[in-house]
Amino acid sequence: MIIRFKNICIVFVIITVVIMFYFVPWIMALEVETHSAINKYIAQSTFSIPNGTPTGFTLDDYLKKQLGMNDGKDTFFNSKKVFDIIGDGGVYEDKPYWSCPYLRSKNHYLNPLNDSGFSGLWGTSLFQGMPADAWALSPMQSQYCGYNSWNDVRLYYFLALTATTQADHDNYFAMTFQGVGQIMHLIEDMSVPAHVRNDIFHHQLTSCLEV
Amino acid sequence: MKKLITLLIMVVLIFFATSAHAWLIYSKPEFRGRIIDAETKQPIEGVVVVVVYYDHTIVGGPGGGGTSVIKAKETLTDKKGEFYFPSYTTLMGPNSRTDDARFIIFKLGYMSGGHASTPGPYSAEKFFSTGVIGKEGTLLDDTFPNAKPWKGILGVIELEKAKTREEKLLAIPSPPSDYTSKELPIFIRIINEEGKNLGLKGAYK
Repeated sequence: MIIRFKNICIVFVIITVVIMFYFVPWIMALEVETHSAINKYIAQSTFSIPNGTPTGFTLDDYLKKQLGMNDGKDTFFNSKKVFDIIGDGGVYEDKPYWSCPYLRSKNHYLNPLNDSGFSGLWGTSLFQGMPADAWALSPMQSQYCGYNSWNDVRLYYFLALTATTQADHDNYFAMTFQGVGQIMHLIEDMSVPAHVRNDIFHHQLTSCLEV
Repeated sequence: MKKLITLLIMVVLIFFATSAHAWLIYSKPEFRGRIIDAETKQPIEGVVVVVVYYDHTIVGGPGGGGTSVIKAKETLTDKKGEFYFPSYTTLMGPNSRTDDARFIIFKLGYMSGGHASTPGPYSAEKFFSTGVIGKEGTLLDDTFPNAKPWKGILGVIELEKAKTREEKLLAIPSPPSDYTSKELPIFIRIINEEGKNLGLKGAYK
């Protein structure tokens, strides 16, 4: 068999791409299920003090007293409870079910010293992202893989409150709570060192980082 | 060209195989356990137990990989308060590796989940897969080998009674995301029943 130079080049390129793909730097980030669990915990919390008297803001209290939802955090929208939807938001910010997973994740970085986001793979600008705060506060309908910035969520909230049909009311409230969950995801990411210093970390080549 | 393709496939296999415990094959052992009342120590019959099988993305972009539910199964405890899930094997996507199976445990009128003396959700797989129920044992942490091993009674979960309405509401577990009564009919029926008992207006599908 004659090995042509062209074939060698093709194989070389493919192997190089595979290696680069495999060695995409990974970070020690929060699992999507962890985001979901944190979101649900917060949404269900009553922040009670030792004598059992609730204090401060609680979602349950707010929904009951300000929005007239008698079931509070356990109110169902589209067959899911409010805290479940908020939990799902924690997942969808990384893995939107309607598009390629993790495309939004490159916007989950913020270095507070210089307000910069993810600088890109391998020290280049490839796959560069927006700073997380700018991503969260993006103008309406400017995000990709779903519109879930703070400004989008405010619009959903307004549409839910002014909806004239039950279906619209439920849909927009579900979108509101999911969006809140997605923004909570961004805040939770700020608890991860790698997310706040553009610090990529490959745990397959080195020992696991214990935070 | 065939040789080149073979070579390429081998290279891909090597890269992915080194990053996964068992690439393409998802396999979990059988699980056994017993649920008892925390106060009386008596077995509880009719507790719904859901096992949720997770896989994990190998390469997931700059946000890292993540877990996904690939299957959820349910069963009820028998008169001895015991449950059993047979071993489970299936195929995974090429960009996935196995992750821990996790458990949801629920009985009307009880707090859901486990007890402070159980090793927590991420070790539950080991806790229920030793083949031993009710005897003292030790479990090691795979993720952090230097962590203190867990010691306690294997395979037994104590459920505490939920006393107030608030406790009962908090005790109702959520189904795995996007799972409905089609996949988990008993579990969804029971949590909806508890919601109805507590006066909730909606229900899970």
